[in-house]
Amino acid sequence: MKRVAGFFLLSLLLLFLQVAVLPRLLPDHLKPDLLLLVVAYLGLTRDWLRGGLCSWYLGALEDVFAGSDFGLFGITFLLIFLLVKTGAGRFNTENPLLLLLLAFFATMVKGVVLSALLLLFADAGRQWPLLLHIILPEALLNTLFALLLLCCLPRRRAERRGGLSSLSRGLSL
Amino acid sequence: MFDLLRKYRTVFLATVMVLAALLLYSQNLRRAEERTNLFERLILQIMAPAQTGLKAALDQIAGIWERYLWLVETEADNLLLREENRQLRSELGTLQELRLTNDRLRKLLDFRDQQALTALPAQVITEDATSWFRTVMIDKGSDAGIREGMPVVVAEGVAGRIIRTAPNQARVLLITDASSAIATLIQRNRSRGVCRGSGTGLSFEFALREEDIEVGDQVITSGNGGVFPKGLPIGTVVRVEREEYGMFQQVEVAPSVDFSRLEEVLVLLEESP
Repeated sequence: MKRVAGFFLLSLLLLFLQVAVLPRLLPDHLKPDLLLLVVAYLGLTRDWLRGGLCSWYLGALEDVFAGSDFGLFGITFLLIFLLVKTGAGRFNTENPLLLLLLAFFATMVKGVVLSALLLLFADAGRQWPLLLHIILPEALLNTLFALLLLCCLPRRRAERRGGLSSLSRGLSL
Repeated sequence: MFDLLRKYRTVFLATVMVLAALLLYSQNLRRAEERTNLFERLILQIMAPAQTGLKAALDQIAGIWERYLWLVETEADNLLLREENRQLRSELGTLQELRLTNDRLRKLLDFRDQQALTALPAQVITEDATSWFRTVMIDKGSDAGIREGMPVVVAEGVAGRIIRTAPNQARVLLITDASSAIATLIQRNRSRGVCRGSGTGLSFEFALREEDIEVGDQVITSGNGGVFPKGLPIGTVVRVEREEYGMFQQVEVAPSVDFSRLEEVLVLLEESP
């Protein structure tokens, strides 16, 4: 119960940073997706059910503050989680730098999945120019924030246990 | 049967989750009224005090920086001699800020009087969580009488429309969002068209090739569509392109509202009789 409450508070804190604090510090229309970083991380460390549900919840949380149709980010984050989880067995999850690579590619995948969903379900043909304009800077920004996340999380514990598995304590469920 | 389920448990689980998420999304797409669900209301209510508090705190810090620290830095050499002067300038800075706020609000009030509309002033508290969409959150919600679909304007023109409401907050879809479309007309020759958002600007669509549209023409709301009253400014034509073939011409419109500096807005509650 404590872990669930901790995860809930952490997700709200990250969302708060993303929505209210970082836009004041960064240039217009350039925002990191902190919740996406958590989803990528969950894909590496959590099982299918818990990770999937948490990713869906994080997407729903982002839906409250982004876009016009509730559920869009929910399904996008869930698909990204499933994609990362499917490939997680092939990665060396002990290497913390993997999160940087994942942050970059997860942003790219997010762009493709969002565009595909909008194209299939809503009238969003005009979203493409915006995607091309934003996706690369956002992917780089997310990678930078993943690097900051790696630097900020307790280093001593990371050194003792090594790799991403050690970080799981910081974001544990 | 159970063995089969057990064997393909992961695939089954993933499929169920994806289908459920897809179902939720498509159900929300179809919903025409009361689009704000319980989860959204809950999260918005939890986040509201933090957002409002942060805005107040940051305004305070910005105020201290502008009124004290910056002056200390620029006049450090004469600090002792100019102590009294600094106090006065500090007060002047405060008054200046108050005057600017007053000017902005007065413009909004004049605009409201001109339009003869019942309008509710609100403050923008946060932006969209992603770089993809163009929405903002305002500090007034359903408790203040705001409902989904209501138009949101500023003195310069149309800003957007309400798409979500919580008791003390509401989310506004800006006209520059790619999913926004408004029935408009060219003020000079009354050519009709639809203004769609493109992220940073607008495009005037369905303007026939033979229509006389020029750079500099003003675009206003047509009143069709049932959301925006007629005659509100949308923007100015900045580019017109007529290709050799095709029914329509391509018209680019620069919004009259500077969305990077959106602070106070008016929500049009209803038209006065």
